[in-house]
Amino acid sequence: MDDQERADAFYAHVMGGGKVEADDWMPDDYRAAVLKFVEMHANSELMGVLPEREWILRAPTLKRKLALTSKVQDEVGHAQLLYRVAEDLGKPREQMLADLMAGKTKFHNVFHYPTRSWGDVGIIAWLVDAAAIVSQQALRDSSYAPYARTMKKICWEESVHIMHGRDVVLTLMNGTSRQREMVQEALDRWWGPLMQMHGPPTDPATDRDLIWKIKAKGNEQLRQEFLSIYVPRIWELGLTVPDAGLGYDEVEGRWHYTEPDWAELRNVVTGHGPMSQERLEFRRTNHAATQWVRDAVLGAPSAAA
Amino acid sequence: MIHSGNVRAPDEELAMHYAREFYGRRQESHRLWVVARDAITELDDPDLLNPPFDRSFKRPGGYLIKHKLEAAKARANAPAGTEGSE
Amino acid sequence: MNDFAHRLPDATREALAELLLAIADDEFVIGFWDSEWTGIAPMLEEDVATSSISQDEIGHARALYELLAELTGQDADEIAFGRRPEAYRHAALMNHPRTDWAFTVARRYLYETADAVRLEALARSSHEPLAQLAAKMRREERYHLMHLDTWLRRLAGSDAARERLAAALRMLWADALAVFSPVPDEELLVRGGELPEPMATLRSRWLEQVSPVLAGLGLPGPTSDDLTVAADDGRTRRTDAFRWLHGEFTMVAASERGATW
Repeated sequence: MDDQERADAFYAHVMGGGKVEADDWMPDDYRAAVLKFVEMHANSELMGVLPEREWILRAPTLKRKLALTSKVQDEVGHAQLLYRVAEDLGKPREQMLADLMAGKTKFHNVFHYPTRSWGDVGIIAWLVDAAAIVSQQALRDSSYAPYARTMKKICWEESVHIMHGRDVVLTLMNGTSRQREMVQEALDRWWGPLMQMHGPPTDPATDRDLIWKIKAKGNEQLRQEFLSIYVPRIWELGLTVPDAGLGYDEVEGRWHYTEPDWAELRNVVTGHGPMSQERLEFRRTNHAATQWVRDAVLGAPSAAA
Repeated sequence: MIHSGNVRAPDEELAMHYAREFYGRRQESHRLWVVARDAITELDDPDLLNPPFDRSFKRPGGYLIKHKLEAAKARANAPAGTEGSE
Repeated sequence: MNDFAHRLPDATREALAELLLAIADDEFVIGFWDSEWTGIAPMLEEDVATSSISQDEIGHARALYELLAELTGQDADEIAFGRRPEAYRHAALMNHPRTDWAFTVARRYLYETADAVRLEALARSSHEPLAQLAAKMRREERYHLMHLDTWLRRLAGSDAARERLAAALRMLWADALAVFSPVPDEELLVRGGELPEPMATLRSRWLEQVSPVLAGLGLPGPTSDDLTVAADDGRTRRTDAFRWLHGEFTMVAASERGATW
């Protein structure tokens, strides 16, 4: 069998619902596509640590302190699991971290924004994690089996984060008028990025990640699922979603909404978001400050790396 | 990866053959790995996996929102100006 | 107030409250400082491990504040977050910021070993709820000790890292001894068995255990100056670093007084 036949057989396998293991033969295109996808996911978990980490020292009760620290810890844990999956595809972790810190690789748009209040902490844990879990649940069916398995563990932990977030939001909504305003202000700030988060609709005929079943659902389908579950839960608390065009169309069976600002999304994920450079600089500073520890316990990195 | 069980065999090669029989003959396994017992590092104190303090905040059931949700919904539906003192 | 607390004479109950507050504040403040490593520790794997240890400390603080609340009729969160910086009673060891990884390992090692000696004694306390809690805490602290011992040895095994560790230890020794500063009216607690041995005895035991380990790794023990620093204000000295931390951990709670969070 020549390479082309081998690749054809491979793609027939994954498109037919077959799974791929780390040490299976795979075409370079597929390997590169999975690596890019998982690496960005890992980067997002690692950068996603930072907006909430700022509030670990500010959590207002012992229980919230434990829950928030534990949530951020889980995200570090997810980054570790995902970098392991990516490493097995052939790119060393140090290289992935270096590319991230150099701005050569991306992370999700929502982690480029500031976290202004305890209300943001609640909205992030509830809705950003909810938007994430909608896509992550679909990834449990990924054709790349090590990724699919990892997503099972991650999804379970994310479901805890959503409960923590919803609990924070409900507590604030049952509180003083200032606390209620805090939630509405946070929702106003985060709604735009949330609507952009799954990305613009793609053409299923040309979206390779979809064709090869690296991901199981398209961007628009994920956004619709998110809206279906969470908009009613937002409305029932008396919160206002800051989009006059938002509504469910019974006839079409889908949500209508004002077109998200795709220019903002492109701008933000290419490193021009309000906190992009500050957060990358924070990573670089801390990575450099702990290099001596890695050198001491792992051995100095080889010159070739 | 889950632990399926163990086999007794004179060497690694036969251990793999037997593992295939014992843990793969009904297609219940996709892959098999065989490791000699003395190559395993074990956490030999089970108490370290049994934390004594409350860790409910790490589980979905640790957040009891039913009554909070009802209260928040009731407040959302209350006519303006009837929220009570603050 | 529970039955155990009722049976205590007022003066003993007050002294016991001071003891509980001191230990709870130790765990609370070191738990806060070290939680700051979450997300930025030297390696992802260690990040998760370090975060768990700091969560354990907050969990212990919570249990201790709850025990204290039974004596005083307050609420655990109110005790933890509702005081002025001057009213905290943690040892001076916890006055320092997180600083770098060597500093964190050095402080944690000193604290974990001291805490182990203290908990061993408290597990024999005549105040049954405290004895039970100390026994429970020891189960978790055992892992902390194992983990910190591993890190201490790793860092001591590399020349550059050992030097950082040694510098941190030299800076911390005097304040570490404050973990065993006497608590107010300690003699009442020793007489009643609530604190089975005086802090001075525990301090000697700790030094006997720790000094040879450090010396064996080429790391410094306390100097004679460190050993003679007055212990009286070991738990009342406060620093700007702690005042900053206090500003952080009371920020949200103070933004809307009396609210539920």
